[in-house]
Amino acid sequence: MLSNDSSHYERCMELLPLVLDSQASLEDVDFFHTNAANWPEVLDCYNREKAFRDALREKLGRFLAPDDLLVDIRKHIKPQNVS
Amino acid sequence: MADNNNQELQNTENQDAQTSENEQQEEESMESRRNQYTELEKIDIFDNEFLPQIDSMYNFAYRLTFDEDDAKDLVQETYLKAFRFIDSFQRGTNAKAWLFRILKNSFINDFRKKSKEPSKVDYQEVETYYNSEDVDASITTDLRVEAVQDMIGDEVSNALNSLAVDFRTVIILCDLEGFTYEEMAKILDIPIGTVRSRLHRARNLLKDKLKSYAESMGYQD
Repeated sequence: MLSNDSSHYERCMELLPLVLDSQASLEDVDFFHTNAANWPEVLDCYNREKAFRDALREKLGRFLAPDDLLVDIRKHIKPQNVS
Repeated sequence: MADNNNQELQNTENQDAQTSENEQQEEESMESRRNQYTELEKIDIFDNEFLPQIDSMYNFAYRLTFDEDDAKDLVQETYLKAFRFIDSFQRGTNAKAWLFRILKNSFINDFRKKSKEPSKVDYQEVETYYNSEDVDASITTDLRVEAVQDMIGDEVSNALNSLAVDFRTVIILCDLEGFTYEEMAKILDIPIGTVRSRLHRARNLLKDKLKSYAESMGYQD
C-alpha cells in the first residue's frame, strides 16, 4: 500500500467526484482507475459514493407528465396566438 | 424568533425586487439574441426539440413545487414562454438545458412570488453553506448505503424535499437529470465552482438526513 502523502493519492481524491459525476476527461478517468487501486480507502469511497448515487436515482424515480398537460400546451401553442 | 421572522420578510422583499430585475434582464437578454424562424420552423423546433423534454420538465417542476397542479402550471408557462422567445433559441443547441433555465427562472420569479409566505430558510443549512466555500472531496458524510437501499422511495423523497430549494435543485439536475456542471452553471446562473461546492454540500446534507432516519430505524455505523 502506498503513502497517502503521494500526489497521486491527492489527485485521485480530487478526481473522485468528477469521475462519479461523469465530468472527468477520459485521460483523468484512466488516471483514476489506474491509480485508485493503490489505496483501498479511495476505492471504498468510490464504491460507497457510486452506490449512494445509484440508490438515490432508483429510489427517487421520476414523475411522468400527465397526458392532459401535453393537450393543454398544444391548445395554447398556435402560431396565430403568438405575438 | 421574531428577529428571524423579520429577517425572513426582509429577505423575501429583497428577493422580490431582485427577481423582478432578473425577470426583466432575462427577457431583454432573450430578445437581444434573435433568429428569424418561419412559423413552420417554429412548430418543427417546438415539436421535435422542446416537447420531447416534457417528462423531465414535469419531474423537475413537481420536485420544486410539491404539487401536481402547480407543476402543470409551471411546465405550461415554461412552454408558452419558450414558444414566445423561440427566436432566441439556437437550433441544434441544448434544448433541455434552455428549457430548464426558463423553468427555473419562472419558478423563482412567479411561483415564489405568488406565495405570500416568506421563503422558508433552514438557517443551519445556510450557515453550513456560507461558512466555507471550498470543496473538500475527502470530507464526506459517511452513510451505510444498505440503509438507503432498504428505504422506500417516499422516505428518500421526503429527505430530498426537506432540503432548501437551492440544494435540492442541484441534486435533481445532476443526479436525476444528468446535466453536466457546465450546463448546471448556465441553468442556475452561477459559476462552475459554486455548482461543485453546492452539490457537495447538498449531498452531505441529504446523507445527514438519511443517516438520522436510518439510525431511527435501527441501523448503526
